[in-house]
Amino acid sequence: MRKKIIYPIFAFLLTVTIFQVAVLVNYHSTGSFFSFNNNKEPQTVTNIKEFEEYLTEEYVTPFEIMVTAGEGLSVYKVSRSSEQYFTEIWKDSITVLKDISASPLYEMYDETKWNEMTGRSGLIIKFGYDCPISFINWISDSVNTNSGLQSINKFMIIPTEGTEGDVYIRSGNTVYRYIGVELGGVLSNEKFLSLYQNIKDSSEFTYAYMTEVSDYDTFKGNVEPDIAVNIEADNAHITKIRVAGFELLTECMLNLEIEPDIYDLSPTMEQYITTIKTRLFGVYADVYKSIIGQNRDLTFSDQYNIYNIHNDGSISYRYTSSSGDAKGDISAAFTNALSMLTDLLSLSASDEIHIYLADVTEEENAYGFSFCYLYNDYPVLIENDGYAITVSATAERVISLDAVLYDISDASSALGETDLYDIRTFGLLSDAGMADLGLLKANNMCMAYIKNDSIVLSPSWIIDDEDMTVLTLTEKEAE
Amino acid sequence: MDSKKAMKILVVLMILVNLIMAGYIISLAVSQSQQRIDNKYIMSILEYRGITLECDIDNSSTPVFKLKHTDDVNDEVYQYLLLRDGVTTRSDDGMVITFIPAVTQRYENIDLDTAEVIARDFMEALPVEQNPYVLDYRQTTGVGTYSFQFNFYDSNSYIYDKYVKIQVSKNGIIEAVIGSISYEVENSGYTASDISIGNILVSNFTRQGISQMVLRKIDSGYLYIKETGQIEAVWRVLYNENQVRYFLTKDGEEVIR
Repeated sequence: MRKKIIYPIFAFLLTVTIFQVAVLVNYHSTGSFFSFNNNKEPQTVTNIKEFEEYLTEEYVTPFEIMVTAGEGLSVYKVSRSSEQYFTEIWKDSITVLKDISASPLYEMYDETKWNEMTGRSGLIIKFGYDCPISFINWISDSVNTNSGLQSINKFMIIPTEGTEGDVYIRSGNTVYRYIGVELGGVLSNEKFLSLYQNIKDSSEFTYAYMTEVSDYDTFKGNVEPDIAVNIEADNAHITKIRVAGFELLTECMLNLEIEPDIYDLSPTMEQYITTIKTRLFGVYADVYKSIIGQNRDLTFSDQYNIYNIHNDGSISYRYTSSSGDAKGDISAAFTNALSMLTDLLSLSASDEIHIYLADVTEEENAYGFSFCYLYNDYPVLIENDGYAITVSATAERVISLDAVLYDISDASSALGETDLYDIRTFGLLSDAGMADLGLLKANNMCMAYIKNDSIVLSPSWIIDDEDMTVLTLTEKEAE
Repeated sequence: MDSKKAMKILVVLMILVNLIMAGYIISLAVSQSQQRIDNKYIMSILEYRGITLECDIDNSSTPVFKLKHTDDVNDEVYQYLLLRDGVTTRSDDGMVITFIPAVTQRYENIDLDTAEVIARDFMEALPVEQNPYVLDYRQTTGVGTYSFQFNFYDSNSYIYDKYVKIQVSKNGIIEAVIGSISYEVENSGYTASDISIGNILVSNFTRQGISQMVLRKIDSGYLYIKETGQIEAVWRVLYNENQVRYFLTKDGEEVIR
């Protein structure tokens, strides 16, 4: 009987031994007890940056982000260059826009409400133009269910408790309020104060909201209450900048000016033209004919596309065929516009050109996109025109483009200069005879550079309305 | 000794061996479960620091073999690229080949997927053993400009110095960088990591100010250390926009490249 039992026990123990040995061997070769697949698959492909993410970091950014902890006389502009605060706030704000697109509207007010809320502890994010809701939906990957909201000019985020807060959206003269909105990342109430403190510590200038330093009734309807005015910086250091056309284009056009025979170009001139065509059209360079006009403009054209390089180095493009009826999806139109824009920027030898989207318009048959240059947080605007690049595009293609292409660099350090300016806003307005706010019209005011005939530019104070008023800052003697 | 007695001794021995193995397996299981608890704790520390983890912390997959660097230079890829239109250069040690092809095609509406097809086509045409190369990451680097990296994956571990990095734009491939290293397996055997990747993360990753930090991928493999001429087992941490840090699996020391 015992002999009969011992063999099954032995067999059982042998099986258990083999099993345990297999488990241990497997553990030491795969790190897992029961995964007998020795060939572990590597982790899936990592998408480091999606195209939309790239856009919202590089091109589609707000014009200004202002932050205050509730003291309206201590307002700070979030710098684009400081430790990614700007990008992080903007990315978290995009999530907020996505959330409210599906949230119920709490209340609607007239523009007086915006004045009432300006100065509350929180952030104001300004696009600087009426951004169509279709564009907002695209960048925030959302579907807007608030049919009343057609565009967003700016919005205010007020953290209230925990990770919730109120959001006020300014669209035209109407203010839309959403309550209990989920605020993630740096926007949550618990992180907001440290965010504010960090931005305050790294800010060069302190601003005040217009409504805190002047009676609202004196400028109501004419001047936006959230305009950031400077009341204390009488010795602000702001660099001069050097703004010059792309070397390749200006050299080419200068040589063309002195070219003795436009029907028999010199080898140097041929080389310039070939280089420009190759950079713009790649393998299709040969498809484009080069034509030199009597005014010495350089034109590249095929059957439907005409690129004109003018003798001041600016470029225009026209699509000469019918563009069709439908303008299509705004995201595809913007991608087309940006694609052509980056082709043009490839003509520069510099990779330090910063451009931001400054306006989006919806025309009947196309979308309009305008871009400006940016240097050290300050826009570089073109005298009279404002925008440096304007593009009209549909989902199918770019219809037209006008661009003045510049490389921008610091002129002050090159000249060894320290440039000091008195940028106190009311002093500037007073000097220009514009101290009466009741007579002033302004959607915004800010520091900017204005590109005119000069190559070296000093900063100016801009009053932005339908027309742009430029108050040139006077340089102070260093003490 | 009769067979009955021998069988009895064998059974007793097997019971003892099984008990020891069972005890060892239980201790490993407990330690694995403790590791999971530690990982949760580590993740909460990283979260507290504002660091986002887009991947798992997996301590188990450290390299098994020891590799030895050999001086062989694989000339096949270099010769192949020299025959193609474009500019091909090679580093002095022969480990990195850079190829800038001539523009032959235009992709007007290029997107990430189209760019990946172009990159894979180039990859497949290279005279290298194809199967071990896996797409490691893809990245948008500009408007219509994308970057792809294929890494060599051998015996459950990456060989970080064997890679193909391809940049693609609407003009097709604008640059390909091919890293290659020759090696042989010196000996095999399980080499336990003395320090967990969790501890490495906690010791080495802190956020500067409120700037974003996203850990995108953590894996392990082999890295050639130029100074010593050795190939060492390392953890690789891929974070933010394609930034990489390597740490030796044996002691957690960072490898500065």
